Amino acid sequence: MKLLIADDEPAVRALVHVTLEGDDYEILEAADGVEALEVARGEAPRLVLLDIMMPRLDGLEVCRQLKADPDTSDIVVVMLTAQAQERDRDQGLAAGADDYFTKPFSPLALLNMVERVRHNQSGAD
Amino acid sequence: MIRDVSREREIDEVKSALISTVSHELRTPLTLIHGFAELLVLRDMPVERQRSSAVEILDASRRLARLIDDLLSVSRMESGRLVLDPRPLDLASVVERILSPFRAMAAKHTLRTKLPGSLPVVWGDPDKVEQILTNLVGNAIKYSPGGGEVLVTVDQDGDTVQVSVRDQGIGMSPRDMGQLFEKFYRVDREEVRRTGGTGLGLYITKRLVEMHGGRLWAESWPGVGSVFRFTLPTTSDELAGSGR
Repeated sequence: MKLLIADDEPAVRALVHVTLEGDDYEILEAADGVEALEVARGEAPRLVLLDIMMPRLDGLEVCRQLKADPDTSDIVVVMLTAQAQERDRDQGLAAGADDYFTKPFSPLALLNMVERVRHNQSGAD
Repeated sequence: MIRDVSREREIDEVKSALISTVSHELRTPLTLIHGFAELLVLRDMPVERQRSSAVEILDASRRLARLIDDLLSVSRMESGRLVLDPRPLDLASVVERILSPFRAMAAKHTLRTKLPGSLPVVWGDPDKVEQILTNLVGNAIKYSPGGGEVLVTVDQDGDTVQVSVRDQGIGMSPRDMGQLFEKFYRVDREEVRRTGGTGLGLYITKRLVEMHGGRLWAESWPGVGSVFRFTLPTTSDELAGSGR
């Protein structure tokens, strides 16, 4: 399964890489919002893990644009962010995100979520 | 008595913005510590991978420690509790002293100095002047990942001394230059993110220079490099016999 991790922190991308290491996932990376949109449109991953505070274009806007475009609206979007307040979570879900992980997050919980998506082609649940 | 409510509200807003920024800055290294530690505990990994995960934890811990140090410095400065202990200083020897650890570590960089034969004695707090210089030279190296020359120049300019630190690094856009000395401002670039700074270094450095009665400013050209310059006052006092 193809998966995109978009985060401006290289070490967070490395963490996701190590967490999902194995034959089941092809992991793509983006370091900012514009790159995330480009990769998502060009590579059509099944799932995008999206940081909110990113250079050039923030994750909420990336999510909105992905969900608004029929070509990309089926991609499962999971926000992965240090914005921990209730209001931030609501904003993420309002932007169309399918799920929401707050930093610090448990890599194994992330792995479980990703596995669920892989086994359930219809969505995040 | 009339209370200035708008002023109080303003202070509250600044405080809550600061807390929100700080918690965001703390969460990122914490994510790495938590994440890699959890993988180490729960996952079988090849030794090489264990090692690299431990290195990530170590880097993130250092970043947290730096952030806390910087926050405490800022807080001491802003509440007026940070006091200078100035004395007559031989700036040339301070420059040489702070450069030697950088010379030992920086493999890709050439560190050069251009010091005049005789310099007037500078009036400064030795630890703080070292901190100013260390910060600027550290930045010069950090933001020239391709290597190149870092040149520290000292010149007399009237009754002040001007120090400049020039690099051949990634440089900055005019937009970045405008916000450079603001708290938590970091240039929005991959190379900058990767260095894991706190966004407080230049703010602290500028405040330290200003506490000495000097000025700090920068010039930069994207892709060519940057120069940071600061001034320190001179004194007619003699240097103490030791410490040279």
